[in-house]
Amino acid sequence: MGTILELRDVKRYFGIRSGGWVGGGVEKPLKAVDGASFSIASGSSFGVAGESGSGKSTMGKLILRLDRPTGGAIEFEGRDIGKLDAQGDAWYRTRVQAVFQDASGSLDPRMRISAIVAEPLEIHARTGPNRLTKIEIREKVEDMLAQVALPERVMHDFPHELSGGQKQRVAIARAMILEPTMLVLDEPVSALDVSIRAQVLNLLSDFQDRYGLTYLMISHDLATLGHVSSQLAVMYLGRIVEIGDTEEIYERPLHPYTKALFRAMPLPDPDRVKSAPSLRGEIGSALDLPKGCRFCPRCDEAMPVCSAVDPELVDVGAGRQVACHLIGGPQLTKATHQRGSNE
Amino acid sequence: MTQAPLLSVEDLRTYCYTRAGVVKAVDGVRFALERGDSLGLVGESGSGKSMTCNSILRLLPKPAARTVGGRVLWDGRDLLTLSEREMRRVRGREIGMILQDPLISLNPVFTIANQVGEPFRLRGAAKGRSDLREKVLDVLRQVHIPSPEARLSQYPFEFSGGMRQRTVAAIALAGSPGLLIADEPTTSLDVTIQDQFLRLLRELQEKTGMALILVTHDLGIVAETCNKVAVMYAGKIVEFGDVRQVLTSPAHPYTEALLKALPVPGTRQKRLYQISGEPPNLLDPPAGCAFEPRCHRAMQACKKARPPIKRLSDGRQAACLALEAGEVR
Ligand SMILES: Nc1ncnc2c1ncn2[C@@H]1O[C@H](COP(=O)(O)OP(=O)(O)OP(=O)(O)O)[C@@H](O)[C@H]1O
Ligand SMILES: Nc1ncnc2c1ncn2[C@@H]1O[C@H](COP(=O)(O)OP(=O)(O)OP(=O)(O)O)[C@@H](O)[C@H]1O
Ligand SMILES: [Mg+2]
Ligand SMILES: [Mg+2]
Repeated sequence: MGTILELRDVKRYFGIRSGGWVGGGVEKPLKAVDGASFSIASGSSFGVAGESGSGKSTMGKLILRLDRPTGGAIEFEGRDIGKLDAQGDAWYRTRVQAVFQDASGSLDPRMRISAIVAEPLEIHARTGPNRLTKIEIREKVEDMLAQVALPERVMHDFPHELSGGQKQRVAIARAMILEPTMLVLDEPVSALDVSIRAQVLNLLSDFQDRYGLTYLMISHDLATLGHVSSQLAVMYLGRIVEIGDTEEIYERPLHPYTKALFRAMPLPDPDRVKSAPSLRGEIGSALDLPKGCRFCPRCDEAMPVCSAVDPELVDVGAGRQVACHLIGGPQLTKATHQRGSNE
Repeated sequence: MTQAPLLSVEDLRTYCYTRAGVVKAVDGVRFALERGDSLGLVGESGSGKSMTCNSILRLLPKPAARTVGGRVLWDGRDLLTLSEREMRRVRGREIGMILQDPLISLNPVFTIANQVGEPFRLRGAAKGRSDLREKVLDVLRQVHIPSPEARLSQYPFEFSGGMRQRTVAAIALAGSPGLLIADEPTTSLDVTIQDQFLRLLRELQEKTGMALILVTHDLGIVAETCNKVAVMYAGKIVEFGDVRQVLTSPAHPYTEALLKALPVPGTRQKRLYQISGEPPNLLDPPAGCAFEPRCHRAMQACKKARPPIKRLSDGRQAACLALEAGEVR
């Protein structure tokens, strides 16, 4: 399995004007994504977890080219997506597709379901060498609706006539119609009931088996991510604080924030005894980052160094990386000792 | 003679009148709560959870919905027969409420101090301005609002989502209610903030003996917060009992299916259990059991009549013919 997507030190800073009158004031950077690096293996599922405002959607948008990074580079199938010409752009749009949380918001309310699903084909496959006829498009749409288990009669319906789960399946059909190799799924099941959620997650897993698709799934629901993804990145205020094999992270989370997330996760087990409160305080502001580690003000295990030095993401073995002085610190000290004195 | 329960809902029926027809949103709901009880109300979207709460509080959308039958016994009175004026005194004082959207529950043009102080003023519970200020600060501290003194003159938009939700809780608690009705109070919150909020509710229950009705579709939240659970389907309670009983050995096929459909970490290769079919059309519900078309245990008889809710030998209640016939468990 080769790498399909690679992010190298990707940043997205927003300029926020604060204080003063319109046009005046100081511009401050809001560091929505602050140096994300990882790669995704072709055909795998990569999960992104983290609380509200941690930069998950911003990162998704950068990968979808709905927004441009202010630093770093994103490579897809070996090509830098920041340097695509018009043809490259058209190519990218057929390879990578998106499904968002709010299906009703992303489906045009004035279009019939058949037209919504056919639209990407109308844009990308009506011209060029692989041109499709109207009849072929219609056949493809019917086939795709069948694959997402929607009855044929909904073809002529408008989005508002469908249930939430049905609308999400329409969004998936539309994303799949160009036969992409990768889907970016931003909270695809968060708005759905338990039973409908199971249907949509099964559908996504069927598509992956059938077409060898790669998924990047963003969610704040750790149970869903744990079920879906093989690799997991945990974000906090624009930074990836822990990344690695999903099952291993679930078994042994290392970063205090990851640990807190798991402790806070409600489980349908009445016999589980919950220990100490998972976290104090509120998630901080990306506009007013604390000095040192961003998580430090909420961390129970913080040491003096944590409020002074921003920890780097370091390899801790077994494909895991963690950005925490507690984890990286002792190991680094040991290494320095062995090397003699450099400092 | 045994003491009457704190709250007793009997055969509650609330119908919605829409252009397309009548929806029996709440169709014969009954349950009872004791002091200190914490009831989790779960079920699919549209199953009637909010309508049940709003019927108890008599806050139904007018004229779309009307309670057409049943009794809500609270403190020796039937809330459904009270005058609007009497009912206003019950709400916010005897029964607190946290509704789904905190932004709707808070008034954007009044300060935090003003809104949290309102229940005290209504009750005449504060002796003068400084006493009121102290009382407001006290509840803000109870719900863990950081530096409350500095927050008094702020407006809701200056608060984070978690702080707003806790402020709504502060207002609900300012009346020292005997019962708190919370409709999906944590849906818009992050897990760690949600965890703080649920701990707060449990803390307050322990301290004051307040009873709680918590609407959620997260069975994890129920397991953590509640001692009783009611599972709703198409306007009816289909299973009611002790949380441990219901979540570890569900009796009703719908409860069983709900639990099986939950994604569990570390089960990547496995397919999730799927409830087949779609939720019932409440405008034209099946004549028999509403879950029958999706039920893998359905029998011929299930199509004919809706099963009544009955007490099982282990004390819980469930509405299922297959259970009565001894087909399950
Ligand atoms: N267009 C924008 N202009 C300014 N700031 C933005 C913009 N888009 C996002 N942000 C800020 O970037 C940060 C990250 O936002 P983002 O939407 O990526 O978070 P998220 O992790 O997806 O959160 P959620 O779970 O709530 O969806 C936030 O502080 C947000 O306010
Ligand atoms: N304002 C209204 N007008 C007409 N019908 C309504 C109205 N509000 C609710 N209903 C009907 O009442 C039924 C029960 O709605 P209710 O809001 O109680 O569901 P719920 O269980 O709280 O769902 P959710 O989990 O989505 O909040 C719905 O199926 C709907 O058809
Ligand atoms: Mg987002
Ligand atoms: Mg509701």
